[in-house]
Amino acid sequence: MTDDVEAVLVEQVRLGDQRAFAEILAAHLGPVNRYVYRMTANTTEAEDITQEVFLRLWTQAGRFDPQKSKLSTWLHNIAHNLCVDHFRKNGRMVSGDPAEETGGDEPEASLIAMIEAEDIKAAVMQLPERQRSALLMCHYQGLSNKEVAEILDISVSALESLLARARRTLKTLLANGGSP
Amino acid sequence: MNLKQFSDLLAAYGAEETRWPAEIRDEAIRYRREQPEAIELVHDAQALDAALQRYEAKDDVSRLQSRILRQVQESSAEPDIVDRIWNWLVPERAALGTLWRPALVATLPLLIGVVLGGSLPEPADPLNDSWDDEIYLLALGEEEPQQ
Repeated sequence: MTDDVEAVLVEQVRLGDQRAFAEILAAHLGPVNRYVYRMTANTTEAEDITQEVFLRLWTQAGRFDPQKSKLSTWLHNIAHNLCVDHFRKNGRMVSGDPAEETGGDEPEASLIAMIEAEDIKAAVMQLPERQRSALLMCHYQGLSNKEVAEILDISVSALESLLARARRTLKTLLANGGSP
Repeated sequence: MNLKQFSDLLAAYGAEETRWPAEIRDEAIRYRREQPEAIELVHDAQALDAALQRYEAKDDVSRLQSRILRQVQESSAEPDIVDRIWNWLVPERAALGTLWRPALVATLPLLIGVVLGGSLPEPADPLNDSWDDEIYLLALGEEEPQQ
């Protein structure tokens, strides 16, 4: 779906067109849900948050400005903010940065290659929220560095520092079996 | 591009070139091809990329999709009279041209008061009270019939 087509569909949603909404939902529900799931590591919470993302699309379609961003960027922005709100409400903000507590050489690539999926999931959940969100959006969601920087409201160079820290932390966590 | 820049690129984005920023992608691909020291850096980054790829997320969202559509349908049911009045009064996108609606409603009590006040009879003016009538009636009482 091109950006122009999406802009037209969102305008139709704003006017209450449920068919246009269903079309957008079909295109974007999967990616948004996958991002939220990896942020929360909980299926039920992810579905509730994802539902809220699209209900906001339904009720606040007028706020989308196709001149400023793509629809996927806008939806991920809402999803990111809802995830952060969710963590704050539930006292699940990750304090500190595990990477800053570690030192020494980087772990060997061969060790990391043998890590199981559950260990990766656990390691990702140990990342501070901004690092996690940055990594997920860049690595899994296919958003560009500029789009992710816009969502996080930081510069591209700040984003790259965030990403580098996230990857460094993950390597350490995975090599040490989940502890920093 | 030099080794440090290439290393920083991999540190942030990993080894997969499709994730590299568009503006430096071609240059980085050339560097990777031409510089032997790039190979080990790529190898290290690829290991973490492969590990991350094993973190799968559910793909079947059909149930969630139905739930969201149902919610939207329910919320789109015909609004009751109060909601309709409110939505007319304050549209979702209140442009300047629609501000007359809440302004009109705000001035309605004033207008009603002015109309009501204008339709009420004038109150009696004590200064112009009917002393004339009193005097006339008194005068009638003083006239004794002549016998």
